[in-house]
Formats: sequence, structure tokens, C-alpha cells
Amino acid sequence: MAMLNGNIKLPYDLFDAEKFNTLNSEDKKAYIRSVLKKILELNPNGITITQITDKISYFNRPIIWNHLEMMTITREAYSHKFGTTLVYYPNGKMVHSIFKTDFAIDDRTYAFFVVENDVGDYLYIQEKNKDKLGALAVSGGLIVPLKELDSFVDYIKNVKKEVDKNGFESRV
Amino acid sequence: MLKKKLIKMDSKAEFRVEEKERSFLSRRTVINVNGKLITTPCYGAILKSKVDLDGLFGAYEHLTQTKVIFAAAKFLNKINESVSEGDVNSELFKRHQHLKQNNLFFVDPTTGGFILKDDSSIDDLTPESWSTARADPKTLMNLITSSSEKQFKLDADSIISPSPLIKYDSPKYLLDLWFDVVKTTGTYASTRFGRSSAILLNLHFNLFRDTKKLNEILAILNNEDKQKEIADIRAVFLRVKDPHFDSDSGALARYKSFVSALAVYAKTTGRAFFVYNTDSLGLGSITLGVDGFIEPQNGHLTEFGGRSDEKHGSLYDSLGLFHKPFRDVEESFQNNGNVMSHDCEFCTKYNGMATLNDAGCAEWWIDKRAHLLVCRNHEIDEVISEIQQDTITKGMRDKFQRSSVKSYIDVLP
Repeated sequence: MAMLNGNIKLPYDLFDAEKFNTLNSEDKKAYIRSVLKKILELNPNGITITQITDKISYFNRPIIWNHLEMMTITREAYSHKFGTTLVYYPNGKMVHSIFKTDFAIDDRTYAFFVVENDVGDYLYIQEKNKDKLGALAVSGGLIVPLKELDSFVDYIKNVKKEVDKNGFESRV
Repeated sequence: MLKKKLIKMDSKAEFRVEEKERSFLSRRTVINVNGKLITTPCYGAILKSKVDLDGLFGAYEHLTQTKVIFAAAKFLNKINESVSEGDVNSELFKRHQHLKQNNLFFVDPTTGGFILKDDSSIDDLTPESWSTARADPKTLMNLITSSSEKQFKLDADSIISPSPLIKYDSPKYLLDLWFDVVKTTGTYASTRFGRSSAILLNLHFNLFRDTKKLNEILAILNNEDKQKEIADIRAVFLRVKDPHFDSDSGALARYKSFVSALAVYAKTTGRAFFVYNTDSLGLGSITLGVDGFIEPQNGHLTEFGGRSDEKHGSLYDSLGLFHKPFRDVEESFQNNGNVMSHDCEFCTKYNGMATLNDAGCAEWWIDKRAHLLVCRNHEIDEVISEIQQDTITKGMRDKFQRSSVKSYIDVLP
């Protein structure tokens, strides 16, 4: 893994502390998430929480950690521990959005991307939900190595057969 | 039962401008908004009443070059509310949705009552009010977030910044504040809604008295550091309030210079550039590199089919490039029985009618609206043909020469 230096790149259009503090909680959440995503993209060699909070003083450490951990769960990022230091990385470069039209079920939508990183190419399935205003926010994610995609699809088909055999019905 | 549907989504909101052809200063572009492809130059139609919607919808199969819808918020609210009112009014919603699928769609943030609680608009805020807002970050942010949220809820393709009206005697800090509003709207729209945003230059006509403030605006836009702060903002809208360019050749010359400079800015930064609230000067502006123009709809409109006063109303004369009052049209029609326009489907139906008053009022307005749109379509077709032949000023020059709007000839390159 590449060595970290002290300097990280930040987006140019950051709010100052005054503006940030006027936002309501939903707006703050969306803003922090978006800024962290941009910071990850600008720093593909990895970032730490300390580096971020040193540069953006109004970003609270526990909140940033929370958001970054959520981003690893949704597969937008991944992390690696070097000794006691936790370093976060963007989860590869999205090279292709598979479909321009995404798949929606009720209030959830699913977007499909091909992602490439150091260890290979993956299918990334991103789940998003609508918030109160109707804006979409990432709520989940799944990655499948492209070379295993056929096996994965076959397995899902078997799961479907089992579901049908057992007579499960959706109550939604 | 699970509801499944395929919907068009902005997983990552996209608003890309790609220049395809150029002829001197004018150009053709393709604007890609989340997969929706719009070619320019184009004409924008204003949507502020059912008559506008019916006229636009009725003429739609004839319109290849009307590619922008600029909507007043109050009417959009009515459309959205009408969905729950039953089948009769949901036709409004369906028509609106149909038009949105094939056009760029924006909401005008300067409409009265849109952001501020009463019928007043951001144009009504004094420099002192803006100064107060600037001093209190919460007030300023409320204005920006409120405007952005409303535009997002009305499903605008891009969120236009609620810029202050800048006049000749506006204090200097208003320009700095304008840029701050543009930049903050851009960040908020992108982070909160995943939507691109647009710069609004909300200028009063008296600004064109000299070049001082115009140059200051250009200096701000072209500043390298400031450019980085608004890199994700993808469009520019120029609105001139109370324009009287046909009566002031000096102001017209400064307008030409300013618009040319903005067009260069838009080209070098990969942005789309539209002018709105303009008369036929917008057509001339296309030869300067503008991607589209939107003309206010003149005349007295009545919503939902009520009768209008005989004295009001106007029809667009596509040769003269001016609006002809209803009375003049009626008079010439009665004098010689001619149709209003020889090549317009919406006018020929009135052939042989003894008096225009025999036409249904709502029908007259809808046909008048459709006639204007078809005229604009035809004019933009001419411009596009000239771009492709690399002779942009020839046909345009002839048209303006023939018209009564001769002063706009000076705008052409």
C-alpha cells in the first residue's frame, strides 16, 4: 500500500463553518457524505480521519468515523489497518454504469456499476433509498468479482427455486 | 405484490455540454442531462398557465427546436396538486410529464411568491435586505436551501441560484454576495440532491449604461481561483430585467459585448448558456454563441378558458419580429380577409372567419401561443442551417433588415 503523506486534497467548494452550522441535520448528513466521497476520490492513496479533521475543523471525529464506516458497509469505500492507524480508500474506480436506467422497487432503487481496483474488476450493486425530500441516498451495497458473476447468478437462481418451492410470498 | 419499475435516475447527476459545430461565434451543442439529449441552439417556452401548456402541447409535433421549458412555480404547484384531484385535472400532469421527457426543464427562481412568503420575489429584496442576509448566515442559507429544495421538488433538471438583482447603483458587496450565492447553491444542490446547478446573472437594464459593473462580473467569473470553486456548475442564465435595448444603441453595443464575452466563458468552461426574459434580441444573441433564448409571453392571458378583453392580446409577426396587438390583427383581417400567417397551421383555420371574435377565446390564445412557437421553431431552423453552411450572419442579417426591429442588426457579428 502506498505511504501516506501529511497533505490531502480537498474539494474547492467546501462550506465554511458558519454555513455548515446553519444546515439542518438531514442536510448536514448529506453534505458530510458527499464531501467525504469527494475527498476519497481526490486521495486514491488513502486518507485517515485525523487528516480530514485537521483540515476541516468543523468535522467532528466520531461523526466522520461513523460516515466512513457506513461507506465501507455500502461498499463505497474500504479500509485497511496499518498498526493502529485505520486508512480509508475509495472502492476502486467506477469505469462503467451498466445501465443508464436503474431498477426501482417501491422506494428502493438499484444501480449497477463495474468497478476496477488493484485486485480486479467487480460488479457493484448500489442500493439507494429516498429521504423525506425525495433525494436519493446510498443505503447499501454489494460487490461481486466479475469473474465469479456467472456462479453468483446461478446461485441466486437456486435461491429463487427454493423460495418458490417453499411457497414464500411477498407480503409487500 | 412488489411494484417494479424502471425509472430514469441520476445515480450520479450528469449535465454535460458538448460542442459539435461552430460558425464564427454561433455554435451547435448537445446537452446531455442524465441521458436526455438536447441539441442547441434552441428556443425555450414559458409555462405559467394552462393556456401555455395547451398551446405548447398542441404544437408539439411541429416543434423540433423548442427544447427548453422555463416554468413558473405557482403553475407547477397546481399541476402537482391536480394529480390527486382526479382524472379531469390529471391530464395536466400527463401533458407536463410528456413535455419534460423531451425538454430541458427549469424553474424560474425569480418568480413572485416562490421563495419569499408573500407575492414578492427576490427582485424585491433591497440591497439592505441582502446585507442583512449576508450578515446572518442562517438567513442566507435559508434562502438558498429553500429555493433549491423547491426547485428539486418540482423536478428541475438544474437548480438555478436565487441571485440578487444587480443594478447600476448596487453596492459593491452585492457582486461578492452574488458569487457567494452561486457557489453555495452549487455546493448545496450537488451534496443534498445530487443535481447540477446554474449561475443566474440577474441584471437590471440600467447596468448596461456603461461597462464598469459588467467588467467586474466578467472578472469574477474568469478568476482562476473562483473558477475552481464553481467547477461543477454547468449552465449560465442571463436575465435582463426591464430591457429597452431597442431604444438605446449604446446599451445594445454593451449587451453585445457582454453576451459575446459570456459565450466565450461558457465555451471555454464547457457550460450551456441561455438568455431569458428577452424579446427577439434573443434570436440575434444566438449568433453570438448563446445556446437558447426564452421570450416572455406577451398579452393578457386568462386561465382555463375564460374570455379575455378584446383590447388585449397579440400575435407574433415572424417577418417583422414583433408582436402585433389583437386589434391590429383583427382590423387587417376584417379589411382584406387574409389569414394571419400563410404557412402556419394554427392560423389557417381562421381563414374566412368573418371576425376573429367568432373564435373561442381560449382557442384563440392557444392557437396564438402555438403560432408563436412554430415561428420560433422556423427561425431556429434557419439559424441551424446557417451554422451548418458557415454563413451565420447572412440570413439573419436579411431577416433583421426586413424587420421593424432594425436596431438589433447591430448585435449581429
